[in-house]
Amino acid sequence: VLPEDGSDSEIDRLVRLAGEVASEFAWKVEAADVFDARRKRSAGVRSFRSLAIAAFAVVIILLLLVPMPQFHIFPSHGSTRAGGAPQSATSSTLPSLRSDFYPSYLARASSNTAYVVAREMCGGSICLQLLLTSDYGATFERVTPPASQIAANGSFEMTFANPRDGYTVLGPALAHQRLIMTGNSAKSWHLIRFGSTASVYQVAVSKLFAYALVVSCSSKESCSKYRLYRAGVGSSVWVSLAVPSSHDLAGQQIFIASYGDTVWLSIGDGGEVDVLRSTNEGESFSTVSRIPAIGCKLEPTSETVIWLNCDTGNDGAWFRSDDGGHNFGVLPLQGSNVGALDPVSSSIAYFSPVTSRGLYRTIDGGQTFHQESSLSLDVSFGNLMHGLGLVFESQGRTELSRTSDGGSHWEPVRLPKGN
Amino acid sequence: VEEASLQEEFSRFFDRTKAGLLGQAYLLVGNPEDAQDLVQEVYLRVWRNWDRVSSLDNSVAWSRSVLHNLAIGRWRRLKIQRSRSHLNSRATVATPEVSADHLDLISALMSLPTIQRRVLVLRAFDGLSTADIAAEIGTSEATVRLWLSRARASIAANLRMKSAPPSRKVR
Repeated sequence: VLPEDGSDSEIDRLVRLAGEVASEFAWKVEAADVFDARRKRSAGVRSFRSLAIAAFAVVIILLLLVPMPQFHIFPSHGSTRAGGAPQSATSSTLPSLRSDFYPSYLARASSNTAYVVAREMCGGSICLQLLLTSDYGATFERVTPPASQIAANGSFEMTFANPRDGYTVLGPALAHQRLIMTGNSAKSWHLIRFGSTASVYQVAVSKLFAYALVVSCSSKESCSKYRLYRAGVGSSVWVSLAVPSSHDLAGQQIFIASYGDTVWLSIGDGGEVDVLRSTNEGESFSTVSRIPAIGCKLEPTSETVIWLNCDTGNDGAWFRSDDGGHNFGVLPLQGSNVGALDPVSSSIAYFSPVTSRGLYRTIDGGQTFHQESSLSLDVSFGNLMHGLGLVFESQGRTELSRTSDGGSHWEPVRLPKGN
Repeated sequence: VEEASLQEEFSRFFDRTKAGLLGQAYLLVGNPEDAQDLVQEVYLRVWRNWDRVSSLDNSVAWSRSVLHNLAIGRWRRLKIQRSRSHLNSRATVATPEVSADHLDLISALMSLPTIQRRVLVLRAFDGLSTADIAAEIGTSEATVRLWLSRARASIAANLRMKSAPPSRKVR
């Protein structure tokens, strides 16, 4: 940022650019709010004047009629405080993590912040606890989970736009999936309602917007009429958008992802996956490419670079595009059967095969992958060096580990245990 | 009908000036939430005086002056107004991840005296000439040039200090 020649014009340019950055912020200033606030403020002033006149009249009457009372200027002890904010659970009031809970889900929120979901079977369902680390695994604090219990075979997806604003889709079946959001780093969560028959299929976030793909379900099995909704990150006001009319979404494998102003949809009809792209915040979509797969999960790391993790039936297939989704190149991971891809940037990604051990990394945009570890783990990297991993142990148990050297060495993380 | 027509006229003005005022407010106060509150308050005042403001030759300059005046005493003024107004509670502004360089520059701007920050923002962000700035804030061109020069020097020094490598330890 230091001006190369320290010239006045260079300083002015930097200030102008800093001001232009503000145009990317999701401002909540609308003309309608101004009219509304003005009306309310005027009404408030009128009410205040009326009240003041009435109070003055009452005081005069009292002074004339009653003997002078003894006034207490300061309130006595035990007076109540009016207008207190509703309480929400904080880390200090939450119970410690029970020793029978084990980490099972990682959600990255920024380059140094992640949420770890811990779960355990309790009765016929799964009990949840949630931990937050702001230094990628060095320390943790307890925060409020979006739900204390979820159905044993239900769905659970958690995604964060930033350390503060997060979204969770959960439910026992497609017909009953709900969206729950937090705007205060998981101190509290609230339910987003889209209608009595609406079920939330999926949610995607960018730094600016959240998108929810919602479907109307008339019964447990019968869901149709997809709608796409958009809200500013952290906002509870969702705007309804049309889904692409070119595709019938009912019964298809659909994935949604977003980066900046761009939104992608992948729609698999059982044999081929169409990748659709919107560059106007979900207002309209056009098909940009077709992939031979059943369904493809989209992982954009910029507005042009997208990584695809595809299900082809028996095997997995992985692709990468660096032109916004028009063309995809195949990543050299075909022999790995099925696995999870964790892209960190446009050039760096981690791959964890499910059917064999090992963690692989590419730093050249997927041209080559090198084995970094022989452990069997799922990873979530905040940046090139720092990551969290769920190491799979016997009997389905997992242990949380962290690395600070890009995945070569992993050390177990001690989570706060208790009763 | 007249109210609807006025609202429509104000809405056009609002759409035309919103981005510029928000950018300016952000550069003046250094954080999006305060900038948003400020701009909301500016538009409330513009709308309250719309019959007068709309007839001005330069209603944008008038709005900008209100913004600057509010920014100077923003804590005192906004605290009072918030306590008795019916404005929505302070809304957060979702922002994309900004670079450390950007934050350094904002921090350098915030370290400037208010008047220097104001003239620098008017010059660099609004693109006003020194003559226009002098007319807008009611001072001479020479004074504006002096303030600009000091503001730029302070920022350059501030940024150089931040980007300088830490001194080596001597054994």
